[in-house]
Amino acid sequence: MNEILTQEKSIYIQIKEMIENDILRDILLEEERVPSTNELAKLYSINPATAAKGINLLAAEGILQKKRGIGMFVAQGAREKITAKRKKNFYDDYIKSLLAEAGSLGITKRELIEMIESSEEGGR
Amino acid sequence: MSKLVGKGITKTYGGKDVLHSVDLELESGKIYGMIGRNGAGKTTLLSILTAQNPATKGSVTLDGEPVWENPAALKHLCFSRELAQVSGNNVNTMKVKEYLRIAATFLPNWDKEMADRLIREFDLDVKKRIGKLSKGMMSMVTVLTALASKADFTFLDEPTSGLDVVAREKFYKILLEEYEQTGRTFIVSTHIIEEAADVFEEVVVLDKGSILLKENTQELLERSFHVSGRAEEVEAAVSGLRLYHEERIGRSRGVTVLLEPGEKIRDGYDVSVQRLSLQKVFLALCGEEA
Amino acid sequence: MGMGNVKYWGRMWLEYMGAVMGIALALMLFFAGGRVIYPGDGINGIWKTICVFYPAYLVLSAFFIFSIGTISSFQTYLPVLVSLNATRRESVWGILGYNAGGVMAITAVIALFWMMPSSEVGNVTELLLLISGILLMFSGASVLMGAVVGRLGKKGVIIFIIFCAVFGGIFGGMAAITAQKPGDFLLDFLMNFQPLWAFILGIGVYVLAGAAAMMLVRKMEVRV
Repeated sequence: MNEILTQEKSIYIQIKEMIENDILRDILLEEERVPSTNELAKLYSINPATAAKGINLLAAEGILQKKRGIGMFVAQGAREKITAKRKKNFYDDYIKSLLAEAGSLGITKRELIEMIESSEEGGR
Repeated sequence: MSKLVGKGITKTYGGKDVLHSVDLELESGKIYGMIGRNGAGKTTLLSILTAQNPATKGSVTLDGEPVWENPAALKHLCFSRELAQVSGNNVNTMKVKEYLRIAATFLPNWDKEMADRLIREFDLDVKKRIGKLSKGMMSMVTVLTALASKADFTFLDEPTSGLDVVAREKFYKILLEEYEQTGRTFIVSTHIIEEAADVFEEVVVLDKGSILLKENTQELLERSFHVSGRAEEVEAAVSGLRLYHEERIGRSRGVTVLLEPGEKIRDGYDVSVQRLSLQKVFLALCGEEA
Repeated sequence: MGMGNVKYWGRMWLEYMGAVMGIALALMLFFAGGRVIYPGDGINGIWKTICVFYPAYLVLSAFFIFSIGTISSFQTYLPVLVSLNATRRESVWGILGYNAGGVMAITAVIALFWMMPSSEVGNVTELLLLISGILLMFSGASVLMGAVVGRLGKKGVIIFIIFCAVFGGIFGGMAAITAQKPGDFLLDFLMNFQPLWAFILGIGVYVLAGAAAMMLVRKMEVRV
């Protein structure tokens, strides 16, 4: 969660994605408490309302769960939800721009597939 | 929820209008940023909103009650000015101690403990005359007064102007901490825009005496884009949209657009669409016409 | 809110009174030290001397301290107070208050000295009325000038100087006409002025000046 905020995306979206990343990486476990809006605001020097927006979006998607009086917790099954969501958006988020860039460089689909097949699993 | 409402505020100095019929509504519980160039009228507007100077025309009310010369309304307000050295007379001969004593006497919610704590934290020499303080220390006095006033609506005029970047970061942290603990309304005018952007829930842009926009910061940034690429492609992608701040080099062209509800940048053209920082949006709106 | 005002200006009143009495003492010792009007009376004589001189120096230093203090109250302190949420109205009341309070206090102190059995000053009531009348007029003038300077800034200072020059000129002119030295003329003038009238005139001038100051300050720009 200690990444730096960039200008590329809305702050509340970055907060949301950071929490999702941490859940995927097992830095935040299911049923564990998530930093509060105020803690996040303090950490990133941002307005609490902005942090709250990110948290609320996650709650709306069922990734976080509010426990009255205590705070926000990682919901059960959050990991699966995030993975499924990201898989669904994978094409938009990554493939589209990949194809556009390849197109402007004159790399054919064939060549792309060859590149993918000859690379290591996980892309390392 | 409290509201501070300015209606039709006009201010004339020596025959010239410095503020043109400004309407502004400020709700309690938010951190507002007021950004504008030097001379845009920020300080004037803030001093009128806090009843320190009279408007030539227009009114300012707090929950319906006029604020001018009204102690009942004034006790909810605090305007912490930029104590510039330029001032000439007035504050400069006063010792910090005395200034703070006056603040404690007249600001009904003054938190002496907080003031003392901040004096220690900022390492402020209260025996020094205000005119002899360094720029940074002067800003500290502004910040200290604003925070310890514990006023419901606290206005800070260029609080970071004398502070180095480390001190500025500290200021934002202190401000957010106080906001978190008390939910007070803060209105901060600044022209160091970028750092402050994340702290402001809403931003008010003042240009040449008029308010250009007042909007939730994140929402503003989500509808502002820089479109660039080959001139014809850009032209087609943004046709029909209001354009700001154009740049041209050779065959390429770059423009800034602020999308109104329902508008969008046309798909399918070979253009780069990038998001903008608040500073860049401000420059596009208020920068000189190239 | 009202209490803050009273606290602040009350404190200023105390400070100014202290300054006036202290400076009057210093002036007396410096200028009149050693001069005893009633020689041969020993300690009593010295005391009687003090009863005559000290009040005079009190009035002199009051002119000095309160006028400068009032003008700087309008020019320096009032704007700062307003910038920290005092209202203009209550600030002007505060200034009028400490001036009036000052006149009363000084008159009272003088009365104290003169009413002592060992004092040989006669016509105490008349003199007191005269003195307080003059002090009030002078305060009124200071208040007015303070408000003018506060409202008009540098232009106000020029107006003030012109006013003093004109006033001095009229006075000098009148002195010349009656072929007297200005100092004697002043004394003559004061001696012949009906004390009760002086007092009433003083109050009138003070009230008018106060009202004018209120009006001037209403629209004063505070830029601190």
